[in-house]
Amino acid sequence: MTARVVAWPVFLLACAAALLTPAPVRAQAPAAGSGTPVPRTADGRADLSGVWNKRLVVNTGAMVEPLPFTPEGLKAFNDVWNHIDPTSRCIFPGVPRVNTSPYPMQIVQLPDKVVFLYEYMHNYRVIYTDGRGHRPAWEPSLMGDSIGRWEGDTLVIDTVNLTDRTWLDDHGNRHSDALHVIERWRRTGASELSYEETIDDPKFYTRPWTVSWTIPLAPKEWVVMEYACTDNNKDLYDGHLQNGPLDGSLRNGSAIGPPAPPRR
Amino acid sequence: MRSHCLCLVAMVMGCAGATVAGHHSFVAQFDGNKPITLRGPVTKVEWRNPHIWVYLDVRGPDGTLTPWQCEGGAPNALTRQGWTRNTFTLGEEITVEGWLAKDGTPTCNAKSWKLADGRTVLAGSSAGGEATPPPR
Repeated sequence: MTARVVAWPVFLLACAAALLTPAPVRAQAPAAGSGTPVPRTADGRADLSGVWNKRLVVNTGAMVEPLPFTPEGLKAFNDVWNHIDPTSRCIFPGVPRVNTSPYPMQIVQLPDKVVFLYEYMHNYRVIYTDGRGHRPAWEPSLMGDSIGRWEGDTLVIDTVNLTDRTWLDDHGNRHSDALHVIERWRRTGASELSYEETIDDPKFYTRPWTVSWTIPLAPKEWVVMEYACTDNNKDLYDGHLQNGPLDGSLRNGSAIGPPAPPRR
Repeated sequence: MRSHCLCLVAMVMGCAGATVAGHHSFVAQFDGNKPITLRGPVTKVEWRNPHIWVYLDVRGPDGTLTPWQCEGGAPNALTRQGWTRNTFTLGEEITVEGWLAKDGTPTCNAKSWKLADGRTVLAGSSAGGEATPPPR
């Protein structure tokens, strides 16, 4: 009994330490690759195809603290205590948060498009690289409107037309409906991807900010599995959800200005 | 020393599972200060997203039988580690250590699962805890 009571805070501390440890920023850990040649498609382009073992990145903003909040952005950040994490209700994580979840994804690269198949929430994205532009008149959406282009071996994805109903990550970093995301995907070796995202949101941040991390290739036998968020999600209807990030204590020391007290 | 390292790895894996799996909050539903140990035969296994749930009948000191439900880890992660729904045999008595739900219902969040033969099974509980190597 005593041992368990003691173990729980220790576990929480271990969790906090693990989750607070940010993924390496590019300046600290340049993507070295695996030292193995980058696989290439028939036309000579670096091939991003494969099943990738995405890592959980809880707090993307931690890599650039302090975040360059506008007054409106800071208000939204601290107001997170008045909101339930949208993914708790099985709302799509959206772009770019879909890249922070730790479930695997498969990339299928074709000459005129790159397809992302995310296990988490069964999300997919078809990124056309054929030179087309953004769609002019569609309603904003959770995953937004993405188009791609190749800069050498790097796939650059430009996403606009996003709603403000998603979060940037588990930490509850926020964005407005003015969010414009630039992702840069590059294969640095046979078994490693380099990922970089730029958050360009003039309503919430005074300047764009960029974070990056690496993603290892998944073991050979891995395939993307079913993840139906609503399949047996007892939390949706049993009153088990609470406002704010999953672990509110993770916000300690990371808010600028006093965060609003959590409402339980 | 080695066992300490494994333990830390297990905890880190555990909390990753906690954050990932359902995007719900442990503290909203369960009380980390109320550990509980349950023993009884398995009546049902739900190996479905976002968390597995295992049901067992627990006999109290007065002889009454109470059906309990305990939440476990993310089924996809568990499957990749080599576990399956057949890790449990229906009717087999198991021992579950975990934490009580706050709402007073016979619901728990499992920290560890032990089969009748004493083997600990499963890893990556939705609240973390004792991860164990998959059966190989």
